[in-house]
Amino acid sequence: MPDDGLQARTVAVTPDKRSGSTLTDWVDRNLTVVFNVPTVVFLVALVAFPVGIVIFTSFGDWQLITNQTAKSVGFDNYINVWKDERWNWSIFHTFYYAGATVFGQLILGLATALLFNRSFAGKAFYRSIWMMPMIAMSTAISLVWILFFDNAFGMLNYVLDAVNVAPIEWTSSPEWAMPSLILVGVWHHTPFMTLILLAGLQSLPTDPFEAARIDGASRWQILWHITLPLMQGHIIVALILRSIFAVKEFDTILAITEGGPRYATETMNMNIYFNAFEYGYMGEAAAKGVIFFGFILLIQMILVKLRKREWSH
Amino acid sequence: MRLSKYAVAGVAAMALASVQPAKAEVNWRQFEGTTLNMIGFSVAYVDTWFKPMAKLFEKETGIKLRLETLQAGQMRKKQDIMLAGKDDTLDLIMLQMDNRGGKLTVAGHLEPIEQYLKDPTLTPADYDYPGDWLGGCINTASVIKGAPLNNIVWSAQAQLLHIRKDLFAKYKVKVPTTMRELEDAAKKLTIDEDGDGKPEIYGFMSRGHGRLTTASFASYLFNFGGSWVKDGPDGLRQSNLNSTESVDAFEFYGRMIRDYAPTSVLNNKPPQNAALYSAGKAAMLSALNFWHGLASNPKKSRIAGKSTTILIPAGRAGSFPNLPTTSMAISKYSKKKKAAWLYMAWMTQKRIMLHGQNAAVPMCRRSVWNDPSYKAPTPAWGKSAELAAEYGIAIAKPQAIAIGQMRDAAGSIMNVAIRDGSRAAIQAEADKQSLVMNELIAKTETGIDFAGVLPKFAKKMTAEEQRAPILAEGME
Amino acid sequence: MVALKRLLPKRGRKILEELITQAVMIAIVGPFFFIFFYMFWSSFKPDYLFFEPGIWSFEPIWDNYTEVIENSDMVRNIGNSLIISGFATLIGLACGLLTAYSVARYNLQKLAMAILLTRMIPYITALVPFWMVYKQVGLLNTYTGLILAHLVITIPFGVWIMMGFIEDIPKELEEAAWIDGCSKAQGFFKVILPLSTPGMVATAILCFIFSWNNFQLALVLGGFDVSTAPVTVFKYADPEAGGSGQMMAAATLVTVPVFFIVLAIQKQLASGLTMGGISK
Repeated sequence: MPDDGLQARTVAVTPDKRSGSTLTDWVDRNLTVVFNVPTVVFLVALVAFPVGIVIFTSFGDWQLITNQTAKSVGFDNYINVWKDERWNWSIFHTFYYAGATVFGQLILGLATALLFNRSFAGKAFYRSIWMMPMIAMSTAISLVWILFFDNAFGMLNYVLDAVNVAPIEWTSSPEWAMPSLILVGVWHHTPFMTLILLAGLQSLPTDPFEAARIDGASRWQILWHITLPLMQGHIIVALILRSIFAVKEFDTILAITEGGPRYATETMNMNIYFNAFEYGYMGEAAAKGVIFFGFILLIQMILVKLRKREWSH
Repeated sequence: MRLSKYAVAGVAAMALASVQPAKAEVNWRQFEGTTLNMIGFSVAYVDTWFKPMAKLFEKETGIKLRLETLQAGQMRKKQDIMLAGKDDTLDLIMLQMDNRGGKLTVAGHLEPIEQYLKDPTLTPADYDYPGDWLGGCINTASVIKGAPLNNIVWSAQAQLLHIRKDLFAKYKVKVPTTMRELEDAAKKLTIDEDGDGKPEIYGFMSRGHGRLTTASFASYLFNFGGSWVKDGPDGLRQSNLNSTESVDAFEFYGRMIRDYAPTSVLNNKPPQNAALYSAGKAAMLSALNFWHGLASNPKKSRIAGKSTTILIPAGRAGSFPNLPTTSMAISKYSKKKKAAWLYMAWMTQKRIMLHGQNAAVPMCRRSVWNDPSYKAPTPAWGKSAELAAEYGIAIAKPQAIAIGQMRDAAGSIMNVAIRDGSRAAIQAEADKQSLVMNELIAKTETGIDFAGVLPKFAKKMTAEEQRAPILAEGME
Repeated sequence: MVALKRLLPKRGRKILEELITQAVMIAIVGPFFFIFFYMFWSSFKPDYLFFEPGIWSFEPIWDNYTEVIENSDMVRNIGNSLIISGFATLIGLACGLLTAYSVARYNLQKLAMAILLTRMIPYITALVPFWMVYKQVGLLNTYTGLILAHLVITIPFGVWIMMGFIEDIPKELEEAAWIDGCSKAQGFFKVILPLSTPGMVATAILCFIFSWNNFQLALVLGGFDVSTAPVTVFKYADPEAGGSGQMMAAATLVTVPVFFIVLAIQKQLASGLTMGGISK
């Protein structure tokens, strides 16, 4: 994590200068430049132009098919998007989706990380199965979920029926469509959360746990008063990582609900997609993209702030 | 159906047809070695007709066709990006004129083809466009009045009513020819054998998913006397979705879905509906006639041999089969326009279309329907598909420049019609969405004259013709 | 439960605990795995059985697979995906490692932040601009173009994960190498590189998966010559292309290669991922 680089140690010892040609000396003196040239060149070359065009586009009225000679409209796009009811709802949907999936992933991820942190028979086996959703292609796995969600003849309602629970109108009711997608999101990305948290658990110091055990603390007390506080930093890191993904979730939503029914699952990303490609409003879509980026940045800044405060304690 | 002189000529041509037609003035190998790029959508008839024909085309002309098939929404996106970017690697596109045809025509992205059609070195003498094309197909090929011809329409897919012959016979239900009979049949055929409140067989199934409903709803809308748009006072069109007749249609369709269809249709894409129908879960399916192929495939279907299609029942305004045809067109920016045309002309020859027709992909050439080698999968399928291709109009969507938003507007009303269903709520939503539509029309369609989407442009179908498919199948 | 445990002798308690753990593991892992099982198992089903979830036995058929393989570019595109994601991963990893090292050791906060920013860009907005740039430079529909595009995914990811791994390598080891006469660059190659191998394997897998799964970039920037597996799979999301059975066969086909790759280097992956790098 970059912000952890913030605490990187300063260079105290330097290599002995006796040996080596002038080239190696030069490389050593400019190490930070030489080592970063490939990354910076690739990223700047790939990202700068498209992003520049997006920002430029966001101030014009370019339409993909119907208005190809765009003229500048100033900040109109940025002002008009707020009059778009669907866009305003899509902001809510984005946070609803991201908040709920990340929360679900956190709870389930923490529980499984704690489980995998113990030793028991067949741990490696369970762990490798547990990690499988991580490798699943979103578009492929959406196809399975589409079949599962069928109200009348799908697997989920079949199971509910077997345990005498009333069937749920999964993806076809505006109320349940979003929870359905959240279920897919939790299924798909919890293993990644488990991984991050498990790594965190394994890096915790052992002393506080032993002290607590000697004091006769119960497991719950240890979990509540020692493990969780110590894990706080790792949890926030995990939240940063997952929330970037979750707000940008696209493939599963497109494949499973296409933003429907009645726009109930239209996230910002979906709304931009429809604006750009179904309606061809490139200018508006670009402005929305810039605003969306602003939102992502804001969430990350809040989380990074939280982390810094936590570290300063 | 009268046997036209063209059909006779076609039959004669068929008899002569070999790898190289003897009298053809067109040198099919004039572009040997060229490669053409085409983007189309992935539907089953692409696999059953386009792909094998592409191989034959390469063998006969020496032109290689590279066909990239994509899911429909992704295909539109890719084509739009490439056309807007004036990309010269794209030669041919597959499209539905009633969907994006207007937009692409007005923007000038499609190459006018009259010149190629007239050129005897590029078009066979017996090609006969539009003479050999069915009326409905020709009707759908032109969307903007006065715009030059820029596509050849080939597929005569129509929205029809798939019915389970066996269930209608077993439960002694009258095969519907009117909307009232349709609801009556749906009620009687929603069957809950074990009495657990959950039907084993649903009476009726059609699309219920927001913007996708426009295609399957269109015939109901028009048959009830409604329409997407009407002529407005200032030369611009106006939304007609809030008229009494239109709201009647929304109310009826919404009720049919709510009461007689499994709730899954609300988010189903059309193929899932077809899959459910083929699994024997519904008595009637309002969908494209192509799905008969799935329903009658014993490997994939539980109802092989038990299903056929009829026309969607007539309403008080008559019967307007919805014919969302598919066309081929040449990109304005292609560097190989002549070769591209050669492909289109080759592909839409009678003998090539006959291959598709015999694989149950309904084609737009009249003569293939009358060809002795053609046998319809079921008598009623043949009759209803042909009637739809003759009388059909391209009403699957409210043809417009802002087509995406218009479909969403109509989809919003449908959502209310299915979920809420009260007349007042539907009317309120229809009024609201009509304002949206009128605003869009005013903003995008000044000076553009859309053709062919009003009921007055359609040929009237008689009650006998409405019943003809049912009689052909020997049902009552 | 707790009281019961107290009553049992120590050994009995252990066994009980083990049993409970096993039961809990199965209860949690089972439903997660069921999705994959269902996908694989129903790819051999005839279509009409898909809407009868109560039926568990049937005669398996291969038709779904033969139809997918014959009617789509699935096999070719899986090959393309392997090539594109493979190269994008290798390059991303190499760049990521170098940058991660300099960020971790030289405290380059601003660079790290800038790289994190590129991860946050909603690329859906930039697809058309991306296409325009690619058209200008002639990269559309080429392997190079798609590999480069996928670097946008793999480089930031590589930097970001490798950073944690490198911080975990004690600085003293490098310093010892310097005292032995190595230059900084030599120190990096002789000390850091070997020590971060497990971390690199883990990072490579994650980069590969993200690149493998990417759908929009390949759709827009690829074309007649080069396309990738997710583009083909998405066709089946609108199963007009073939029906439910083919949907499942297509989904299985794209999952199998990654599954075997992960299985093959399972051990390194597990040790690498839990080393602690990822959470930093």
